[in-house]
Amino acid sequence: MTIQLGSRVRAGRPLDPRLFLTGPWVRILSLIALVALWQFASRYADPVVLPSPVRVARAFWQQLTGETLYGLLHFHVGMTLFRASVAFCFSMILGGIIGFVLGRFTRANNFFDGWVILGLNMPALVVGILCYIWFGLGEFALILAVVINKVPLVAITIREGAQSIQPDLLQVAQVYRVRRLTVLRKVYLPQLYPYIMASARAGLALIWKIVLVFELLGRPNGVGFMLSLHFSNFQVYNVLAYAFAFIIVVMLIEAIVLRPLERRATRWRL
Amino acid sequence: MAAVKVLEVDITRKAFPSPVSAGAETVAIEDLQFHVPEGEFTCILGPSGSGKTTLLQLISGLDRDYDGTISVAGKRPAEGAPVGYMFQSARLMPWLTVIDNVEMIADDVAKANDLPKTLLEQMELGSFLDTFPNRLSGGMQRRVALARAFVNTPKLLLLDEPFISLDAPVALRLRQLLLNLWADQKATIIFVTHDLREAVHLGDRILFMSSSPGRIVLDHGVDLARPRTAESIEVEEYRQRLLRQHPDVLEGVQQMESDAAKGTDALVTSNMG
Repeated sequence: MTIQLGSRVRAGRPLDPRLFLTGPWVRILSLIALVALWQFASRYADPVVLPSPVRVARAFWQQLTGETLYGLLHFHVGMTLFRASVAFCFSMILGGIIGFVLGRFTRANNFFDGWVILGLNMPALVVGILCYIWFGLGEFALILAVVINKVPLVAITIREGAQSIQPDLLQVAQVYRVRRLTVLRKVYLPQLYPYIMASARAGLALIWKIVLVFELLGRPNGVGFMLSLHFSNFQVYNVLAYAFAFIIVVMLIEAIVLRPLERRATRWRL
Repeated sequence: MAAVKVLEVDITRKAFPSPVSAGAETVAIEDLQFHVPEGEFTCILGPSGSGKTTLLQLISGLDRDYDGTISVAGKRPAEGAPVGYMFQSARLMPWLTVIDNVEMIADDVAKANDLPKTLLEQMELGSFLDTFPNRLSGGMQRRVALARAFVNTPKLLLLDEPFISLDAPVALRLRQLLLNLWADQKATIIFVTHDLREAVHLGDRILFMSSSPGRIVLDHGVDLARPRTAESIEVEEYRQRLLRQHPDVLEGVQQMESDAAKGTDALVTSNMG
């Protein structure tokens, strides 16, 4: 039975349509295709509105090394990265604790559920404006605004995870009187891990974007500030250069931090 | 010298809120008394729904809501009396390796004596210490759970149909391993089962529980020399004799066993498929 199945797959491999466009080179090929398409489109468009990839690459290099009035690209990316990381850490810790408590204690959940929904639906921009008005145009206001925006999202994801914890395994810990910290580390956290990773992923994508908006609104540096500056000057190539710098950094974080973390934590799965 | 009582149970009433109507209650256990001297292997046999698992949960302290008194080695379950518990399924943490699963619950004394490793080797799992449980067969997972149950040399061990849904040879081997551990550690064991042959094979004494609300209807000391062999004529004859002597009490047992046998067959077939 097994052999038959195996040989069928092996024999069918060269013709199997499912294997068309698979493998690691596909991703690279598709990105190259996208750049080619862009290059092609830019030939027929106004270069001011849609600069070519080559022009954007030149702008990128100039922003990174050349003389600009407002500081170099890596400084601005660095500022944004700093704000995003601080906001990310606080959001994950705070949202994680709140979500866990809400998920484990029904009464707390009943009481605070309305607050969570309120927080989820509060427009990010409103929180940003209020924080800048209340606390001034500073780092604290920006980071606080981002944290307020992100915490409810982390909380509902972790709450979901905490509610789905298996009582079976908790009973094992309870009957053998395992220490609380050990229970947290070896029973709760591994079960929450997929939820933590999901909210970290979503958080990484969201927090960057909110930070940009708030930088645009009230900070004198950072990627968001530079984007608004280049928008005012109508330098689309610089806008795109910053957009790419930004995307590269996020992809690196995904590849260097998130993926290995996930692989390590899920290695027990079959 | 009078044997020390490791376990004293006197439950007047244990009820659950009824799942059907709000406010109403289902009485699971009523007027149930027994005690167990140190080192005894006690089997508890009863039809499903007779409150066997509930009884173990009360003794272990997992459930503290009942009327009556329970004392394990002189302590109430809530006060932290040391018990081992083996559930119907292995209940291993899938994200911890075999050795980590046992070490997670091992106390300082056990760790100092390297007991987790020793016990797992005794269970013939020495070459699987760093394996994750989902790579092991059902029988091997139970052996890990068995090692875990014994690792802190508990005064009292509670086993809740621990070898259910395993095929016969695997279950037989596990029973032998359990008997070896029991002899080594001189543990006191409460073993819940619905299989009379298993009870006769393993137990010094069999407590028969009635259907809901559960109480003890027969307290029988097994008068058979050890070592016993599960498939021996002696065990089978003893079982038959018990069934003849107490037809009223054991009315349900034969039905249960034939049902269980069917269930096991079904499982064996599905495992092979």
